[in-house]
Amino acid sequence: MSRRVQGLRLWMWQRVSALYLALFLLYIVISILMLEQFDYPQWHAWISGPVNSIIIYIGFLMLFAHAWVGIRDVIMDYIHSIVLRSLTLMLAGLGFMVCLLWLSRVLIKAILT
Amino acid sequence: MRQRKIRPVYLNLFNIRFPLAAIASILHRIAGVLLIISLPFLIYLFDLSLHDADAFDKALAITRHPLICLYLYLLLWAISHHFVAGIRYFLVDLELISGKQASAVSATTVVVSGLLIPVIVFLGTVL
Repeated sequence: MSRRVQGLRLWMWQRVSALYLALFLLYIVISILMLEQFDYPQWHAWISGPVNSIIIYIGFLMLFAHAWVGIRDVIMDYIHSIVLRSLTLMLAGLGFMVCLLWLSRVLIKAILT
Repeated sequence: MRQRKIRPVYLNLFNIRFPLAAIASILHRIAGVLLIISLPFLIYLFDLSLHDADAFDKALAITRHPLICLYLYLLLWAISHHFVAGIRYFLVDLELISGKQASAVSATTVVVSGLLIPVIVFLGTVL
């Protein structure tokens, strides 16, 4: 696949994930405001509900897709040295993977307990 | 080439009109990077809040520390601005915003509402 098409695909991913994240953000804010009380049982039950946990997990995946395309654009715009650019891109990618694994663990643990 | 010689040599910063759309755009980037850099801390808080009731209280206590609280308000600005500016980009993509006037007006709306949301939340928690 040519570079141009790859760029277009990334551009589309950015829009799709942005749309999901925008709706997701509104959903989180409204849901949390609607909790009767912001305490551990309510919070835990809200996060680990069958529908919510799926919405939240997809939200995390979208967040990292969005963050990856975004930081990739920023890094490629401002870091011109090829070595430094590859290094920061690699660091960002690695950081995101660690964060996503961490979040997955937190969410799975919350569902199971 | 001759034209170049008669340009003013002084630099009057007040004469440089930085388009508001450019300000909204660079703030969109800064906000995005700020949110990404803050991810580990936010995931840490999220993790802590779901351990058990004691850890949940501990996480809440962390967010009430004055400096952390200030930082969280900064992040609230970042996500508010990123959100509103993102909606503006959607409208631009759909060609609902086009032309200098609409660009400037919408960019001002974005910058102002991005700042207003944290202020409203602050007032909401204080009052």
